[in-house]
Amino acid sequence: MSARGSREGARGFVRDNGLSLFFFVLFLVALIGQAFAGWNAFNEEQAAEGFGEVSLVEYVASVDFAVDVTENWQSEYLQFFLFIGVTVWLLQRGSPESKELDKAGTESDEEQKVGPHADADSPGWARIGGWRTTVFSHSLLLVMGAIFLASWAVQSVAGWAAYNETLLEQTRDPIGWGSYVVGSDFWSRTLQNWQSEFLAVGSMAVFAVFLRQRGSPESKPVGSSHGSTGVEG
Amino acid sequence: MRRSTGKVLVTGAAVALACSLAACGASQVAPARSVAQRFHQALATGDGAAACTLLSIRTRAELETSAQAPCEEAVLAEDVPEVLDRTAGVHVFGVMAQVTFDVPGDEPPETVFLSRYDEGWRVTSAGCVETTAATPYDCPVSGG
Repeated sequence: MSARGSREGARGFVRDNGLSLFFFVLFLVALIGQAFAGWNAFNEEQAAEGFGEVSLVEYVASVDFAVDVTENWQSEYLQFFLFIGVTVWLLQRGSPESKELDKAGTESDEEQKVGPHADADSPGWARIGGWRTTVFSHSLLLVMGAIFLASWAVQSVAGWAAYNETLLEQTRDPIGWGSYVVGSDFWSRTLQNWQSEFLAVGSMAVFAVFLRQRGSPESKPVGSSHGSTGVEG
Repeated sequence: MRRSTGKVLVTGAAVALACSLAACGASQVAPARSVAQRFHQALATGDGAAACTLLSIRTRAELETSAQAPCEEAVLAEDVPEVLDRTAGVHVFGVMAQVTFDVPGDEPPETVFLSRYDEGWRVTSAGCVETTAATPYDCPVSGG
């Protein structure tokens, strides 16, 4: 391939994947920023109390960083898990986030293009039938749910260790993981993230009934009526 | 909503984080226990200077301030019990550790708290006795 062809190929890749690349870069920048800010905050607290400080590498591998990261991850993936799942059945009149009002449910095989109704370019597991089509039919929900549970589990372990680190600083006995996950620290961290995600998703579904962003697929076309449902711009 | 994310990357990072938590805590148990044992050995032999080198800077300063005496004298005068050689328990979380020793007779166990600094583990509180559950220990040697 010529140099000009390579450049055009790279430009094409960026254009075709701009959305995922944009958010992946933002994710990395934010995570690195969180690492530096969290490291400084952690060491400031340690110095004020006269306890040991850590290097940036130690902080990034620490329970304190891990719990701060995973408590946000789990809530984000829970948000998408719920949104993907409940929008199969629950509708919102006028919202582009909702299906049309007569389409609640998992819909027919014909509408979903599975089994004998698959197109020529449908994924193989959509066409093949049996357990593979069943799994593929719910794969997005399954993966989002699995990442949510994995992140929440890591949050519970990291949060438990970070909480015990604080107890030791206060010359108190550490507690077991079982006591931690029914305690206030775990649920405070969890619920403060959940409530913000639920608010954001719920308000998005309602705002999009009456408000528009020209050109965005998250919005209805600017001229669509407030009552039109399941229409994306 | 059509937002995509690096699912594989996220899962891998979560697993790596979980592994690092387990490995870090376990590898620091022996060093923390060793410092707590050396601290008590120094007290048992009357070597206040050696005991003071194992205290955190703040604990050493607070000990000298409260006793109005040099650390090596003040630390020997504090009510820290003699302990048996074996430790009854070691807990390490992050940069903090708790080491518990059995003591001769029917006395309550002796508990030492430590923090990890650039120079290694140092004792932040010693001679600690549990008062009531879920409240801080009562520690004649303490500082942070």
